[in-house]
This record gives sequence, C-alpha cells and structure tokens, in this order.
Amino acid sequence: MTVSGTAPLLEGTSHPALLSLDSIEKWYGGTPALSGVSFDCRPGEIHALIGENGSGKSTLLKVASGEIRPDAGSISVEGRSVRFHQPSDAIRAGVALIAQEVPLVASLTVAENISLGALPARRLVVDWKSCRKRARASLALLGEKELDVTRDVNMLTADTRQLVAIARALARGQRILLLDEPTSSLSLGQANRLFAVLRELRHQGIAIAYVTQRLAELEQIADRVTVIRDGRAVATMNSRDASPGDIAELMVGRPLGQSSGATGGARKDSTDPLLHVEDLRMPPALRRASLTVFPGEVVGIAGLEGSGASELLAALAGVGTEPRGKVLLRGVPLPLNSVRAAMARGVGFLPRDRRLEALVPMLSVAENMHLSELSSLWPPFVGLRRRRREATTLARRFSIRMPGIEAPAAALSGGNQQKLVMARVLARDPSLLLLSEPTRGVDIGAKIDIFRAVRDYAHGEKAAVVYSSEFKDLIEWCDRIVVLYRGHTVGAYVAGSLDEEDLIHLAGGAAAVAVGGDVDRGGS
Amino acid sequence: MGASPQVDADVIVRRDPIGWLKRGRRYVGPGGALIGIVIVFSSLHPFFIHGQNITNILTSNSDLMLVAAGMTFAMIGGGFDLSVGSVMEGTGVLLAGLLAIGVPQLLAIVIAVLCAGLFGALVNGFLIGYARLNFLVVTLGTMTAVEGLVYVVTNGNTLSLSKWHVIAAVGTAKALGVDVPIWFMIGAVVIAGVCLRFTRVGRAIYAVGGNREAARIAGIRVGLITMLTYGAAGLFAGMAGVVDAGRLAAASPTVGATINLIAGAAVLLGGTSFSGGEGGIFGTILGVLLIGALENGLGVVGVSDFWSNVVTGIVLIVAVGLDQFQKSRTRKRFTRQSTELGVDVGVGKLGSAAGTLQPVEAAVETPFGPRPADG
Repeated sequence: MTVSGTAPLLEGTSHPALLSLDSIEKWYGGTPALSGVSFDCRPGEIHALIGENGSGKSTLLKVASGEIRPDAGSISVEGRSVRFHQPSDAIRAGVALIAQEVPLVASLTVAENISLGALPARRLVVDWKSCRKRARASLALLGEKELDVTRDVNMLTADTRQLVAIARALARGQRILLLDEPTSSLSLGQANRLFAVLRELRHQGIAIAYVTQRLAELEQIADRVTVIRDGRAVATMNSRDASPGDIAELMVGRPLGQSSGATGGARKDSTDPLLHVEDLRMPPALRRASLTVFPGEVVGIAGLEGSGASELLAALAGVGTEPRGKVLLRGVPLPLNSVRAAMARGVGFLPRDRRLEALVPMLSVAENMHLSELSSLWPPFVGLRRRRREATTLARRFSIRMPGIEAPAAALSGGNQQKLVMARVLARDPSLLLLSEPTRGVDIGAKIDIFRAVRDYAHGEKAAVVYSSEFKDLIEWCDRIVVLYRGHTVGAYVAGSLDEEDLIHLAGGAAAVAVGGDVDRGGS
Repeated sequence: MGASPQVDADVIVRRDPIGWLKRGRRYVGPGGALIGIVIVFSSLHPFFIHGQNITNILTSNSDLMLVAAGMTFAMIGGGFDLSVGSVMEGTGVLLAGLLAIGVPQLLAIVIAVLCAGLFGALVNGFLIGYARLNFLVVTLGTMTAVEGLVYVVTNGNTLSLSKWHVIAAVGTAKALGVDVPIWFMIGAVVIAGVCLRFTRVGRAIYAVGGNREAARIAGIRVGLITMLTYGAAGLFAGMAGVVDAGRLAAASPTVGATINLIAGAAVLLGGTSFSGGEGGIFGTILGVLLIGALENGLGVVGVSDFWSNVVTGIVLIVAVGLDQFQKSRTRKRFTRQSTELGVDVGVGKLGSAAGTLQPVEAAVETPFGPRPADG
C-alpha cells in the first residue's frame, strides 16, 4: 500500500513517459485551480486521474490538450519539452483529447471523419478508396472490424462515435489518448466494450490518461491512479495496491470516519407522501428511478455525470423528452409531458443551466423575475409598476446584488443570476420545489444563501428535491439522499448517516458492483 | 417612495436611469444617421425639408412602415417573414374580389385585413411555431405560393378600384389636415409599440426571441406566441395592402415586390437584432424614416432612383456592422468573466470564490458602485 501526501514517483516499468506534465500551476483570478500538479503517462499504460467535481482534473486535461496554457510548469512529450499554445499544437505533438461530447462532423461518413483535415488525395481529387482503407485499418487496431465506414456518423450510437474518435487519433499517428469521463454517457455494456478497446490499445503501447469520478472503474481498467484534490495531486499509486476506500478517503481529504452504511431512510409513515415516483424512465439517461418525498423534507439526489439525476428532475418538471413511469403528486397522477401542467399542480423547477434554460440575458432583472407570469396572457397588460414593485421586494428578500432592477440579467454575477431564478421560482409558491445543480458556478456566499432559502422553504406542506454534484452540500443541507447510478436508484439514505466518502462509493457504482452489476430498485 | 417605502436607494433605483440610458444608446446610431441625412440633403436642396416633401416622404413610406411594424414582431420573436410582400398583394386582390361581389367597402377592408392576419397566424405561424419548421423555409414557401396565387387570379393585370370612393379615400383623403395613410401609419405604430412594450403577449415575444428554451421552461406558450408574431406580421402587411390599394386606387400584383427585404433592412437599421429578443418599434420608425429620407433625398438632389438601393444597402451593412462590433466588445467582457467564474464544473468551487466575483460587479457601470459585501 503506497499512499503518501506528496505524489511519490513509482518505480514501475522502465519505459520513459510518453506524456509528462511537471509541476503545472494554473490560477484563475486570485485562486489556484492547479498548484504544482505532476502527472505522467507511459506507453502501454492506463493512468487514471480521479477526483471530485472542482478538484482540477478537467483543468489539468485542458492543459494537457493545449486548450489552456499553464501559468507555470512544463509539459514534455517523449522526453522532449513542448509548449502548447493552442489545441492544434497538442494534436501535432501526438496528444488526442477524447472529449465527452465527441467532436465529429455528424453529417459525414465514418471514413471521412477519420481522415478529417487530411483526406488522401490524388491531384486535388479525394482518393476515397484509400480513405476507406485507412479508416478500416485504424478501426481494426481497436478490434472493431464490423463497422461500415461509409455510414454517416449521425447514425451511430454514442459509444461507437467514441470509437471513431479514437480511431481518428490512431490514424493521425497520435500515441497519447486523454479520455474525459468517457463512460458518463454509456450504458454498462457499452462501457465494457470501451474497456476492451482500451486494453487492446494498451497492448499496442498507447499511453492512456483516463479521467473519471467512478471509483468502481478503477480496478477494471487502470494500471495507476492519481488522486487529485483541490488542485493538487495528493497521491499516485498502482491501482492494484489501492482499495476503493483508500482512494475515496484521498478524494475527500479527511481521515476515514467510520462508515455507517445506513440504508433505508427516514420514513414518516404518519404522513402521506407529497411525491411518489415509481419506475420512472427516460432513455437513455434515466432507466429506472424511484423516489418518495414527504412534506417538510429536503431530499438530495446524488449522482455523477450520466447518472440520470438531472434528467429525473427535468422529467418531473415536465420538460423531459417522453418520460414514462408512475408519478403521483399528493396521490394524484402528475402528467409528465407539460411544463404548464406541472406548474399548475404546484411544481417549481430551477433548471440546471441558468444561461441556456432559465434566463433571457438581455431582458431586465424585473422581467426575468416576472417570466413565469407570462404563462398566462390574461390580463393583457403587464402592469409595469406592479412588476417593478414585486421585483424590488423579491430582490430584497433574496439579497440580489445588481446595478438596478431594470439592468439586463446578463450584467449580474453568476450567484446573483441564480438567486434571481430562485426568486422567480419561489415567488409562485410551489409545493414541490425541484432544483437541478442550484449552486453550479456560484460563489460560496450565494451558495449558502441558496441552500438556506431551500431549507427555509421546505416546511409544512412543502418539500424540495435538490440534485447537486457537490456531495458535501447534500449531506449538510438535506434530510435524505437518494443515490442514482447509471439511471437506476441505488437507494435512499438518511443524510446524517452518510459521509461524503459513502456517497462517492455509492454514486460511483459500489452498490451496483456488490450486487453484480444489476441495480436493486431501492428508493423508499 | 410611493408604493415601496423601504427600498435601499443604493440597491434599487425606482426609475433606473442606467436602464433608460442604455436602452437609449441603441438609437444613437440610426437617430444620428437620420439627422445627418436630413442636414446633408436640406443643405443640398432646401426643398427637402419643405412641409410638402416631408408629407410626401411619410405617405410614400406608409406601406413600408406598416410592413416593418409587423416585421418587428416576427424579428423580435427570433424569426423573419419573407411572405409579407405577397400577403400585401394578396390582400389587395382579396379586397377587389370582396368589392366585386358586393361586400360593403368598410366591411371588405376589415375582412381583407383580418384574413391577412389569420393567414400569417394559421399558416406561417402554425408551421413555424407548432410544426417547428424553419421560418425562412416556411415564409419563402408561402411567399412564392401566395405570389403565384395572386398572378393566377389577376392574370398579372392590375385590378382597378377607382370606382370605390371609400377605398380611394384610404389612400388619398385627408383627416384633420393629415393624409389618411399617415394616420394608418401612426395608428399601427402606436398599437404595435404598446403591444410590444406593455402587454404580456409583447413581453412573451421578447422572452421567446431572447431564449426560447428558458421561456418554455418558465411556462410560456412558445408555440402560441410564435404564432401570434406571424399573425401580427400578416395583419400589418394586410393593412399595408389596403393602404396601397387606396393610394393606387387599384389592386396591383407587383406592389409588394421587394418590400419584405426593405422592411427587414429597416427593422435591422433600427437596432432590432436578427437573432431576436431585442429591439422595438421606436427603432423601426427610425429605420423606416432613414430609408425613406435617403431615397427621397437622392431623388430631390437629382440622383437616379436606382442609386438609393445601393446606398441603403451600404448603410445597412455599416450600421449593423458597427452595432455588432460594439456588442462583441461588451460580450467579450462578459465571457471573460464567466470563464473566470465557472471554468466549467471543473474548478467550480475554486474558481468561483467570492474574490473573483468582484470584477464582474465593478464592470457594470453604476453610479453607486458595487454594494459592499454582506457580512
């Protein structure tokens, strides 16, 4: 067991690293995102980088792929020092980033995508035959011989697109692959297929950096693991030497508390549930989710990227795409296909992406607060004076800082924009409040304000359901926590009985692995 | 402070002067250009600012103003209506038909205009708002089809309406000393302005144009609102058709030839953005007057009519280009800040510590400065 606080170099294979990042630092404003992180990847090795949201792993990946420039530290490829000014420099040096959303040209064929930017040509005329040949050859390296390279990419599933992106990297002669949470949008079977491909590539001497949040994947795929926390690489170890418990402890950064492992959750049998969800599905992300919420409760939803947590809330709010399942609000079925019907039944929804889904940036603060009022077009006039008065009151109640009530919403800081959306949702006095990532990109002060407002709101007949990728906050502010893994509810737990580590385990698929990959229905 | 007694003066400004100024700034470009044109042409030829010529400018552009008012709805809602010219012609022909079968003149006018509005709402609006087809495709299609229909019905001939005195009066009479087309124009502009600025429907149009998804999630009936914007575009085009039928005392199959694009240019010149959610009727008025004055002024100083389109086109690109330039500078400021804040989820909690928020607040121009951080 080699765990230490200073990222020890391991004596392992004698190969020099293909890619090595040394003492990388990156600052945003006055805050360090990365402080002296070193990470390397040898040929024929899968080196996993694991850390919580906001730990700095995405930033490190961006540095390695040339998307952002580090403030200090050095990068070397095959022992030679390099400097990436833009992503194309990294690509030329042989580093391929396989992002979560694979950037392929969906309307072109697989073969064209694999040769993109370097189509083989004879005197200005594209040589399609050798283009297809090259595509087949690089797909064969992945053990993928079935795929028809003349198909359009938009006909392919997410996992096959990933393979095409990897094949493109190989066709370009890139020997370093950076994979950013590649399984987050894949099903279990698809993920296993990807793992088989990665093992095959490892065999061929490719260096693979594998970024993940899922503990359970480490022992399946990783040779080495580096744990990153608060912008520091806290440990690097051989994955067979490390237990999931050790890694979770390193991710959280606190000494191991006694794991309570409590299940079940608080049942308030005396009262009727406010919300009862049974077997809710919304493929592909949400497969089978069940959930019960009692009046007066704040229920947290914990899940990693791709767990279906944000889709669960969207489905309940009526903004999902064709969800199916049984949802009862106060014992009466809730239609899942209409935002307006959900609103009329007292469901308030704070969407996950405030810029894309919640705000009209050029309209004023007052208008944005008033937006849901426009769901009814009667009476015909807005009543500017009343709107201004109500917006003023709301702005005070939620202590929103702004240049003025008529200033455009775009002029507010992230935290204040989020409070604005909260104010809009709460002003309608919903009995069930659904919040999807309410504290994303929000400063600490606003975060506390927002959770406090949720806590205060969930009283009497009202309740709230919060999805957050910051487990610490869920434990601190919720009564119960429901964990989702790959679209299935793993279980419901009393918040006080869990610590962050438990949640990392559960959300990372620990419970699922324990029951052999098939997830038990859970819920309450 | 009236209704809200305990308002912190430093947080909330009752009649927020910044907001007003900012909104006003949008009109500096087209307003300045209009003043410039007036100064140049009146110094070249004093007849340009003669009362008779000004009336002339207004009446000859009353149809453009009406069409542009309707186009403003479509464009704020994030779309465009290519079919307005054809609808105009169609309304004239429909009017001629209704009169021919003996419908009373005033009633015929009302029916023809309502039909134009219903066509806009139920055909363009339905296909775009509910069937979710692309607005350029739909209105290009209806433009072509209605134009064709007009030619089928008229055989390409102009239908004379000179024997109907009420129709002629719409185009040529005066009321209270002002030409009737100008009254139409004023009425339309006031109705459109009030509707866009003060009614729920109007504000919902801004919301849908500004961020369709946010509007939908907030519970706004996005399909209905979209339908209404094309209904307005059709309705105003119908009114323009009636005005032109009156001015010419005829239903002509060619009156609307290029008015769709000129109206779009006028709306754009007035600061309404092509991507929706921004702009307003006041800008459209400036845009129409700008184009009208330019065209008339070139005629007055003796330049060929054909040049006016050349100049209009150049002015449009310069004006919109300058606006874009200014906006991209502002946007850059905001994006830079939001990258510092968010840096995706990756550095969420690191990058968004309270400290980095400071520059955002400071960047917003406010006479009061950022409010001190709460304790």
